[in-house]
Amino acid sequence: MKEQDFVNAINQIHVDPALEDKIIAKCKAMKPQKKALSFRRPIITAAACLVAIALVITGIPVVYHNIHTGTTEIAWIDTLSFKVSAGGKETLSLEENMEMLVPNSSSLLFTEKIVDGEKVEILDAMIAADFIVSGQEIKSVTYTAGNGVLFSEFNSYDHDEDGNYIWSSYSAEAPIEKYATWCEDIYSPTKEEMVRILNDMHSRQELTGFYNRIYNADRAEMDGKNNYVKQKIYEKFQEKCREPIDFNQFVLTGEVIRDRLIIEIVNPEHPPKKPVQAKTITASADDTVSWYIDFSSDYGKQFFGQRKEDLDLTKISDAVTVLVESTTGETVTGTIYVNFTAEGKLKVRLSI
Amino acid sequence: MQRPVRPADRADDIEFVVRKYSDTVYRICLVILGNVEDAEDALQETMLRYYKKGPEATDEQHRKSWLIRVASNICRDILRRRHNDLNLDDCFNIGITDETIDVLHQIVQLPEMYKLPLILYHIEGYKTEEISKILHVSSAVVRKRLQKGRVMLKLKYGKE
Repeated sequence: MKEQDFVNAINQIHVDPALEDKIIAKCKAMKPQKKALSFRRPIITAAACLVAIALVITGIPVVYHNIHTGTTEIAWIDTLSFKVSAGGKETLSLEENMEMLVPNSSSLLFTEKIVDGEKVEILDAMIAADFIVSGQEIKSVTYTAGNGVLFSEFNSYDHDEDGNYIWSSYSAEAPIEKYATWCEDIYSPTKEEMVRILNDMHSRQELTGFYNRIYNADRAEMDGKNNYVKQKIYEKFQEKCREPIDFNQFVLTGEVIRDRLIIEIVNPEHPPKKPVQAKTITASADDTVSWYIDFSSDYGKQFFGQRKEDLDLTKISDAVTVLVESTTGETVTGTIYVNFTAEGKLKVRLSI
Repeated sequence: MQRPVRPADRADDIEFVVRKYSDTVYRICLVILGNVEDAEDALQETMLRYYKKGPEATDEQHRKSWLIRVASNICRDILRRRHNDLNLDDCFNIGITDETIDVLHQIVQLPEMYKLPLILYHIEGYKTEEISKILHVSSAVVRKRLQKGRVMLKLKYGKE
């Protein structure tokens, strides 16, 4: 590929003016959110707050004289904000030392399951909370967990030495409603059962993303044949996708998440790099860092799989230390205390 | 005290920002996500976030950097959550030609870490030092990613 082809291709991408109009209208229909300590407030109030923060809480000088520009500037701490959300939904800005309930968090904890013909709710979900630290001049944000485990990497593809794309894993989603009767236990399906489900989905050509991965090399070869017109390549590829696939050759893992059976199809020749799980992770400003309760740990085992009515959810708690470093080398340390209410609502408190 | 540049009216500001930076943000989102629908969602989310809590920009470069960084973080969130895949078929609907879609196919299949530096360098004209500040990585890392990204794309640099 020539550099000009790359530039031309990207430059052909334009936003539809109608979409721009829609976004502008949507923004104007909202109220802009006031930041905790921004210039929107009178300078004197901001200055008073900054001095209070500096002297009482952190001791860090927050207004400093810039020797390069000869001006006095508001330091980075002014812009710091800690946020939390659950399940990728509404984001809440944490106010210091206020205990706050995280919106949309309670439904994340339990999964309905039929045990001995009875519908019960068991503790199943892994997600506890997503944290975001925003602000200007942030160099890094380092989170350190107490009991939890961080899940921070997302790797399901790779490239070989020549730069060719290779596939390593793919997740197929099958609705439980449809396939529950196909399996003796939909929560732990056998390989044979998963192969049957995949064959069924394949017969209806429902694995489009999977075909793109496994036939990537064939597609590239087709594209390379200049005498093929676009439509011809498309037809050839569709024909390829209809060929039988032996799903037995792959490593299959089934997991039920809410009302879907997620079947992970792994290419044994290129197993995916496992997500990094660590109690400490360093992120950037505005990065969303998802926290999971580590149910494989001794701490987590005591809760996982238990019925809702047998659980005292208030015993599940964690404390995450957040170290924020500025580009000028100053640091702020905060702790986000996480626990649940008896009803399963996520509760957080920020201490700096 | 140096006061930040702030437009008199937030509503005028968002109109200016959307008109001026939508293409840049959308290109980044489309290339990272490889899916028109997701890219449109990411663009909208970026602009809404800017409107709600965007920085009081001291200059246009700062504002643009903020939008790029937030857009790439939003894309990363979408990638982490979604199960659907690359789908550039809808690009026909936004007026992109067959030949370009073929090129885009190759670009979107690059790992995420290589796409953004390539776009910022080749399309937006940033220098490696500037990219390093936007992405919070060292210049050496940016140079390495550019180099590896070009190798993966078999990109012939310059006027070859």
